[in-house]
Amino acid sequence: MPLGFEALYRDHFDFTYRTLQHLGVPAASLPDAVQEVWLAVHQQLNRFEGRSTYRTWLFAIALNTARNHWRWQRRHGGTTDLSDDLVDAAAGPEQQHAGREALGLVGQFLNTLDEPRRVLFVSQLLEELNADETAQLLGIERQQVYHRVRDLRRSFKRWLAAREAAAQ
Amino acid sequence: MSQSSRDLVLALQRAAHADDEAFDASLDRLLEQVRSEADPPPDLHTRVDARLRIEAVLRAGPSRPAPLTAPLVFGTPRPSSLGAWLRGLGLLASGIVIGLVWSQTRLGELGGSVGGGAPRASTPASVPSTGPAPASLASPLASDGALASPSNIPSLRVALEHLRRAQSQLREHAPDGALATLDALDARVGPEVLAEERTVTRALALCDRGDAASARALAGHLLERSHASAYAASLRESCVGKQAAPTSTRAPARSSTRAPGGSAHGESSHIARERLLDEMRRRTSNPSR
Repeated sequence: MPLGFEALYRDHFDFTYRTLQHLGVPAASLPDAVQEVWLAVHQQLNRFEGRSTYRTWLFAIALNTARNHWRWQRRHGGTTDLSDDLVDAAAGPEQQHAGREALGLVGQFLNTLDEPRRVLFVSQLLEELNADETAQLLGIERQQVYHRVRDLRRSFKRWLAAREAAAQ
Repeated sequence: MSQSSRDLVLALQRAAHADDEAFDASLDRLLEQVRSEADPPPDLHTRVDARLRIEAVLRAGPSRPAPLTAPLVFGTPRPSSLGAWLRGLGLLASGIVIGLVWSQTRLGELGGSVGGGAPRASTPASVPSTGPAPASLASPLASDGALASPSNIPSLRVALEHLRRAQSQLREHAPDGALATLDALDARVGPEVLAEERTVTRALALCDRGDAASARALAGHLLERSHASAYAASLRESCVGKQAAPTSTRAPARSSTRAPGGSAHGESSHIARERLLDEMRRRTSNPSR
């Protein structure tokens, strides 16, 4: 049975917020971005055909919204580093966002990734979307999703080791 | 006992020198933590909800009264579940309450009228004012259960119309006109309705007049709470955030470019102002444009 808007909003609001954040929308823009997502959801909900899960559908909308924000920022001379807040959060052991070091660390790594790999990391490792639907989102084969996720894990490991070496 | 975020980071850093399997296990534990750390602040859900409802009022159009029982969103009759979401006096009134909370009021002070979906304000709600307003003005939150009245919807609509007019005047480099429009708005609608947008717009007009000190006095407090104000980041780049704003950044009337010979600071402020106006326009305009 299709979900109504209210139920969708209640159940998936946090998911859309997290997705936008991980996709690099700066903290100051997150309220606007998440609002845009839900306005789009409302406009399109009656056209949702159930060919994907709601989460995947919402992820795609959030991704489009994040892309719009990136374009808007570039056009208006904003920062091109899309996750300053996350970078700041991971600036060091005494960072201002104490207690969210894990988020900061992952944010730093996400900022090293190009868009497809960032989308893959967020969809598969952070939000654990269905591999088939991630493949559809990225226009790749399902098997490639698994391979690329494994590569991402190895990249993260190498990045951590290199980061530590550089700090010494 | 669960590990702290920092412990998980340290464990992952150690695992970076271990085998892949150990690293993956450590990474999975860290990612689980990240999911919880990335959740939105507790009040954002209601703030966005309120903004969606403001959009709903906008979609009802300026010339039509907003129906209380029909779907309001985007002014399009839509027998969808969203209609049910917005349907009913209680929900609508609660939405307006929360919308006003978005405009710099404190949710806690309104708890009595929001809680339980009961829209009736049996006792006057206390709402902090962000600027001077005639004492005789009746606040939409101030008396006799007015929140339950559809008359508040036109108040919000009037505020939005005035704001848009003032912002257009700013774009036309007519700060005096913008200030007059904001004064007219103050005379018609209580200060708590879209207070933040009004404050920012007025501050920008003062910047345009070269009165940076007044702009800072008016809107400087918004810079101190960047997580609460969607405009803080951009406002910081305007004359409000420039501690040493020596001169007016005002551009010549009817000019679409910055003042000839304008300083780098003037250029920066101009861009900041345009960005702020864009932000406010995005928040108060039709997203389906």
